[in-house]
Amino acid sequence: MRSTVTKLFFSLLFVSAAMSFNVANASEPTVEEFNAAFVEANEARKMSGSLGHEWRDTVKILRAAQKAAEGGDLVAAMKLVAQAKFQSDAAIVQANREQSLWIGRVIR
Amino acid sequence: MKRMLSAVLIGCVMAGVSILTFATPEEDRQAFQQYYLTKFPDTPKDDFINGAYSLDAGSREQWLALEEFPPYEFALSRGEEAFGTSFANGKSYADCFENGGIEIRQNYPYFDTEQGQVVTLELAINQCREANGEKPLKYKSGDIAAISAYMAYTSRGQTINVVILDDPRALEAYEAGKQFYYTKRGQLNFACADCHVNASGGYIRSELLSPALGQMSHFPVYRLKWGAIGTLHRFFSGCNQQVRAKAFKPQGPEYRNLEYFLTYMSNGLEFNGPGVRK
Repeated sequence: MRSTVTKLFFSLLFVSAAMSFNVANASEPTVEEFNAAFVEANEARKMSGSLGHEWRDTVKILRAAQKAAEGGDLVAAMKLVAQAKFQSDAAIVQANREQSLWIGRVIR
Repeated sequence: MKRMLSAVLIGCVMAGVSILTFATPEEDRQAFQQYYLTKFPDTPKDDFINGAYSLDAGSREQWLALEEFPPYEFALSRGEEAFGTSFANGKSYADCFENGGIEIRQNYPYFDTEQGQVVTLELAINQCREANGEKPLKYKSGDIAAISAYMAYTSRGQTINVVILDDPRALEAYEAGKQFYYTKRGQLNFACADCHVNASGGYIRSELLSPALGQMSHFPVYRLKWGAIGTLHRFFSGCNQQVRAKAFKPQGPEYRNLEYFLTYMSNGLEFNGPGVRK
């Protein structure tokens, strides 16, 4: 009985260690994931630019992301890429909304 | 019957939208000028060419003191010298412009039907250089601002007279400039009009926001924050960056069209460039 409890205890310990290892590993993005996210954010930035609405700092944020990735800090790099993607998406929304909203501001 | 009513309703809405959108440039100009005359009843119309200094006595006093020994004087001398210096082929700027380039600033920008685009004075200066085998100058500051300042100086006292041609391409350029002016951009979500129409006469931090009426009359300007004379498109670029939008290229179509619209709004006022501003 005692040995069964001990076995169970060590099994649980092993499983929980393995799970926490997996969790830690899951939060660490891979280089491939970063590259894909970077391309997507950069495409969105280009799209906002083609609409004449690119925001000032988006390209700087992407450069900082690249630098962080080159330095091996993929967590920070992914956060920056997400920020750049958010800015680009917001700029595209802004561009589309302004297509009609500007008219309401014209002095008459 | 229902369909008919809907069609009539849609027609009315469309007509209303088109009236709102497609006022003539002259209707726009009259409404624009009237807006400022109503908003600032104590400011004489002719005084709007002095920008924020037309609104605040204290700022005006400081500005007038600056104008006693204007910091753009060195640029004027440099511009006059560059303007008078012949190109390698023996020709000069005077050969490229009407009236030898003197007293013509008030007619810029204009729509060139051959080129199919808005031509600003700075663009014309570089076109003149290139036509005579010279390299174009950089557009934001330096020699181009100095030459433009000299040409502006010879035009002081002339009436701003920008013409919107009855040509669909010219009207399109005008409308593009107008749209740009009223469109919000950047992370701060600001339009040019937010500061210089709605908030004109108000403050951003310690800065008094100038009215858009008359704003184009005094460029290029010596800005104390630049410590140098700079072109209008440098100013546009700075405004865009301040609202955290990516600036457009100086002398690109966006800023030239904007200049076309905005200068037309000040038609009838006196040209008094170059100026000095904070």
